[in-house]
Amino acid sequence: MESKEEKKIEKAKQVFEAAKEKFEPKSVIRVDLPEDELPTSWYNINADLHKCGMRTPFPTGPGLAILPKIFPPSLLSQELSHDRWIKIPDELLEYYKIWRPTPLHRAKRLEEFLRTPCRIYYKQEYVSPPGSHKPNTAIAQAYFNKKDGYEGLATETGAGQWGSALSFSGALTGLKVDVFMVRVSYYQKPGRRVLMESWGARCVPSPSVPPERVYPDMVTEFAKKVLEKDPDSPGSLGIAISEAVEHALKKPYPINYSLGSVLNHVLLHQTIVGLEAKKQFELIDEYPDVLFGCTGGGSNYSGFTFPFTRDKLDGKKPELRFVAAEAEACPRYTKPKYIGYDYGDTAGMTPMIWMYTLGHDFVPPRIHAGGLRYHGNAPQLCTLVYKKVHEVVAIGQTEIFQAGQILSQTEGILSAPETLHAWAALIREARRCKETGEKKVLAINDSGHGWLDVRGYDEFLKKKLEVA
Amino acid sequence: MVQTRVHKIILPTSDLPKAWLNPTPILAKLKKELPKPKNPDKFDRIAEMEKYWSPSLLAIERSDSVEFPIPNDVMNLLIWAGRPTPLQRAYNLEKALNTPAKIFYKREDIQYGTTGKTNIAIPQAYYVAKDGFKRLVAAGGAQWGTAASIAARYQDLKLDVYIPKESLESKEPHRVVMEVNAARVHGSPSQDTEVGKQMVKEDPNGSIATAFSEGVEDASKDDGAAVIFGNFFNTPIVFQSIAGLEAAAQCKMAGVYPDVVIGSIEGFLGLALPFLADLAEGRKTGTRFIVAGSKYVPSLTEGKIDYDYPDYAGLMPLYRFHTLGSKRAIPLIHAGEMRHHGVSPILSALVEAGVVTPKTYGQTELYEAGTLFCRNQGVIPSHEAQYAIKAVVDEAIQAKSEGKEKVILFNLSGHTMLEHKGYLEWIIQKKLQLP
Repeated sequence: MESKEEKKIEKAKQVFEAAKEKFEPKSVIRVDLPEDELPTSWYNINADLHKCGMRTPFPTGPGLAILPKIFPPSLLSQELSHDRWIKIPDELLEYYKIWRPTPLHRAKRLEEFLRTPCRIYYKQEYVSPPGSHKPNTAIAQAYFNKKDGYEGLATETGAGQWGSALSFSGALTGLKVDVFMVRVSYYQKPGRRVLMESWGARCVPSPSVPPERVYPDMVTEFAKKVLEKDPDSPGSLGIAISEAVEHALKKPYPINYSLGSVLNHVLLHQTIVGLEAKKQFELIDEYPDVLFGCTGGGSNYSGFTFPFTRDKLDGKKPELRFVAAEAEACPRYTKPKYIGYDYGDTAGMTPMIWMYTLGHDFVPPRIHAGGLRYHGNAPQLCTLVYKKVHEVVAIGQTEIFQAGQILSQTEGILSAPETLHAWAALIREARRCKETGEKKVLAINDSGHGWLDVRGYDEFLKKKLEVA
Repeated sequence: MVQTRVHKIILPTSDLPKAWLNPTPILAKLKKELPKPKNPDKFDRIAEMEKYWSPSLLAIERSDSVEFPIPNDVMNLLIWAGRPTPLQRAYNLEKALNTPAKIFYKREDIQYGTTGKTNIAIPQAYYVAKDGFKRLVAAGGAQWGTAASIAARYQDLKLDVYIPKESLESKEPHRVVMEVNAARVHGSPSQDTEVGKQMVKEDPNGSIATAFSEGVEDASKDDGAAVIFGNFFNTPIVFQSIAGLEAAAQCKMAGVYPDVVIGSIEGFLGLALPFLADLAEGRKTGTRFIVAGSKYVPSLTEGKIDYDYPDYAGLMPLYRFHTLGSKRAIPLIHAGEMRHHGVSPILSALVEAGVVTPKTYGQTELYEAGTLFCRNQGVIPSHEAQYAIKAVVDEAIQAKSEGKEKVILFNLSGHTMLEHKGYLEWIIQKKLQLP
């Protein structure tokens, strides 16, 4: 009798467990946040950073003097602010609503492929019209410049993600956009220029002079100088920054300069990603154990992780981990030249900032993840890595495209080469957890799609990657 | 201070449609029977279909049922690839046009394959796998191939894709995506099929019709393979109806009902079907329907309504539709999915019955409309979606002159991130090959 009863209880337990499984967040595929849940303030890490045991050292050097000449007052005040929350103006929220909030998606098919006990979630930043997280700050910068009375923005772009995002934002806000695109990319990726000019921007190869430079008022002295020395210069991000800054300082019309990463106001605008993700995890009663992102200048990774970082700094989530993925070919964190003050650009026009750096004259190999080819990183993020709050891994090109193929064949998404660094790091962790049996919740910022960068995938499939 | 406005209407996943709609009975209620396909000679092309169609899909193709329940597994995969998609209000475009019209667009572009084509590819691959086939053959345009490559991976099927040779060259990024997803891609007419070798002499650029012929031959010769199509037949329209069903629910959430429903030849029916059903059942009257096509491929306005082959080589049965002739070489318009000599028999019959109004456009006006849209709403539309946008802009301007606050609904069927050659001609070279 008793054993029969026991069996019954055992059976009931099983049924109960099975039912419990069903009600776990396991069945969730995608979490959509309603528009009215869009965060109304950005989170400023400057307010809490000191809790890691160190404040970010201030920028320094003669370059400081140019800042008020190329940035509007509203953005400069955000740059230096220590307020924890900075309100997003209502009109700007209207622009955000064109594509935000972005979905949080469960990567169940990837989990099954990897046979990992982990639950994996990705924040789909690629759904923005330009296809990356970049417009989060581009639209904000365009908005504040317009509000402060400026008519245009000058900027540089390497692979083209940032230039596209700013062109898109210029179109929406009614601001002119002048883009200096690294010459070699300009000819390698004609599609990017097509997009930028479709949005109404003007895009020129950097360096170049007329007649190649078709817009006469965009001619710069710096380009002439570079080409005198080396008529076949392929260009670099450093040269393009110097050209854009010169153009903005010359002010052929009321125009400012705009930067897509590294600076605090950029990271600030990107925190909308992490703030949304936090709400989405709350909706399904989850909290991530490890967060992943890729880092070039640091903005997408920081934007995603900083709102969660606060919980760790406050001691609410002491076990929480953060993993930034950088390119093996550009290893400023894993093999830095030094940790300290360096220029943000090649020519040394910008202020010096405290960071992990490969040296401002470092020329990284031509990897497909153009967005990760930067010698330094955002100082706030450098501080968190220095104090071991965040971890960093370096990933090679073959591994990222392997991850990309797995991702495409399981989930169906084609991610940008930059983003694939984060995915590769996540896959390493998911595989490690398979060995240990840890049921962790992994979260990643899927920062951009790879539809405009299919060349790297093609070379990978043909086994012709220049850099392994 | 701007008022808080809702831009995107998000359908809760719990409210997703439970069944697809069948266009055939809707058409019948609109007093128009769908003419049956027939054989031109003793070679029984209708029976032959069983050699290259999967039985489940053929049953749907020939069914008169009002609707088909969506299997759970299919629904999960559709959610995977981006459903439900938002219904978005084009506030900025309305402002730019200074129109009293309210413009809503269905964001089919947001899905994993850059278009709404996954709506059709995912269920078709599911049924093909369920019927026991090991290999999928996809015949159509480049966007269709990309969608099929995602769907084939979801079902672990091998995949061969036939797309027009010209599309393979001008829309090369699609090829890479397909190959990342382990597909074999053939530019049609190819040297890989007998029929391809013949067609290459007559129409080296290829079209959707040559791709159809090659897909049919390939799947017919292999018992383990079935071919799937992204347009023309009833089945794709059935599966596309999910977009319209969502949109209908979202319109309800927004408290509006469209006065005009607009789509390109490629994206129209899926969106319009539930609204056509309302008209057929008498639940609504006065809704207008506009389908936009190319003046270079004017099947609906200049083609004759007659029995013709859907494919170039005549391997398939005869269907009755607006056709320019199956042997016609199709001009190289950038909207690759629309390079077909005809339209689906269903759409054809709806136009013949006067329920749907066809419009045609040249490429210059399309790119003007596409550019206007992207500079106001952000998304750079696919070449196919431009057709719908052009018709929307015309309607909105008309609404302004009439002072009418009408509701316009259209299908933004895709974006252009995988194909920018058309915009290159338009924006950079400033010269469209076909103006």
